[in-house]
Amino acid sequence: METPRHWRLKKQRYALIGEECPHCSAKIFPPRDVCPECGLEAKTAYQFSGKGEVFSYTTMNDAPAGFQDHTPYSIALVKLEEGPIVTAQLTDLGDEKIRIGMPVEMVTRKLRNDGDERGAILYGYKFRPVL
Amino acid sequence: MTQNSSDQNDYPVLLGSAVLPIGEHWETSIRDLGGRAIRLALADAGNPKPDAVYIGNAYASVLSHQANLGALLTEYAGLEGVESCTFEAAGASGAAAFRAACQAVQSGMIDVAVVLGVEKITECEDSQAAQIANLELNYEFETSQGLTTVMQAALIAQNYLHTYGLDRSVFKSVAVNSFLNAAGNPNAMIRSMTEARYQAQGMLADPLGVFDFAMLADGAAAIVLTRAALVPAEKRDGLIRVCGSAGAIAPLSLHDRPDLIHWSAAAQSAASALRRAGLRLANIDLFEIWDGSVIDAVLALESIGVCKPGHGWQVDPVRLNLTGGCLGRGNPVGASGVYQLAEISTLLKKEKLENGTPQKALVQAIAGCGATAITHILAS
Ligand SMILES: [Zn+2]
Repeated sequence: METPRHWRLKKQRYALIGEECPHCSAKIFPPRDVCPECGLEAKTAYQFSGKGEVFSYTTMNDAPAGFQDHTPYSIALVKLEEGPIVTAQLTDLGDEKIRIGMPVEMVTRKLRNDGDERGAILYGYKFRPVL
Repeated sequence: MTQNSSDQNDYPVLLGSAVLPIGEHWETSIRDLGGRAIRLALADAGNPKPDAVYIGNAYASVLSHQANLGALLTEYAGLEGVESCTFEAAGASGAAAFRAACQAVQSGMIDVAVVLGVEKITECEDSQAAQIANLELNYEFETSQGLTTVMQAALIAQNYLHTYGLDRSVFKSVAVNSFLNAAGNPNAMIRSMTEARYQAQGMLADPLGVFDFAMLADGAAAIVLTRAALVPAEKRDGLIRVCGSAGAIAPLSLHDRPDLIHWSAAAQSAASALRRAGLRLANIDLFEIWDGSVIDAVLALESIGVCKPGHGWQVDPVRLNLTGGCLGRGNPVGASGVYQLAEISTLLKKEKLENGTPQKALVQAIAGCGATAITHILAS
């Protein structure tokens, strides 16, 4: 189990908190020290709306350790309304066929079992079709 | 560019090389694989005394529970005292070690360098090896979401097909080209392939199937380099020389890339290597392009400029991956870059002996679906 890491990442994973560049107003997720748009320092927290659309997707038939409970599962690159792209699982799909351009929104779900003997569970964002 | 103005005599030249068959070497340790390749390459080069051994390896610290391969493998090869360390850039590790060796001999700091690429995959179950490959993703924002290297390639391929209105059948030409070429390579781990078998493959992660990915396997290959000035003039003509070398990186995570299907690192490293060689793309006779997955090769060909955007799968006119590529050869990840360079140099040498025509090859290794690209230009 990697408690310090999960603690450090919890704002990003639970609340989709990234940054807004104070110099060029670019929205940034995940947060980083240098703005990818203007190259200046970025550190102002910004909470994303959690709304976006599928930019690309795939469905995995052969899951890695810690994810077997959910196989097959789908991952998308989700383009957020505010601009950045997020890598995330898609959930609550029902019979809906995934397509590029599909509107999706963030929800909090179980991501994986951490793989240790205590079976620590990791929660974070996934995206579902907009209801 | 300092390398542009440098004297012809400073160019790195290949004195010799060796490749071990790629496959499942259950009975052989990473020490044996690496040590053998070093000794065979030195013997092929006429046993010069090396000043340095540069090692390309990606996974030993996890799969073999082994760090500091430099001391372990170099001493095991009987070269106690010689400088040695590892270069790691996932799939481009071998090319990174080769580039370091080129810089060392060309600068004059080292006279004779050995480049070793070595990877020992079969120390554990298949699933563990596949999981180790995911180390090259961004752990906090990709791996933790369940993304794998296979899915990463699939996300890019999906975006590619959508952008150009194509379907997955376009990837067949790239895959079949490599598989058929591997049939002529005695060191390749052969997966027998026909168009029908390719068409019937199972999906791993749509739109990519099991034959769209190179199989991970054990391997070791080594090359001995020096600079031209140290070789007697009458022998120089027969040697393969490295006339260009360059590396570049792009964002590791797909979500940080402004464009998924133009690979800036592949483009930049190829353009820089060509510029340093004083060549244009039209001067290149053959291409050894990374195909850890089919989409790697398609997008590298487009980004380098060999094919137009949207046409990287139309490879029939290109002399491409004549050694079988990673797909046909099998993929000992950190060693594959050295296999590419060793096998292409052997081919250039053979073709020059047969028909007397000097040729030039562009050899590119890629890691992390375009995150890292290292390009070399070899000339006979
Ligand atoms: Zn900015």
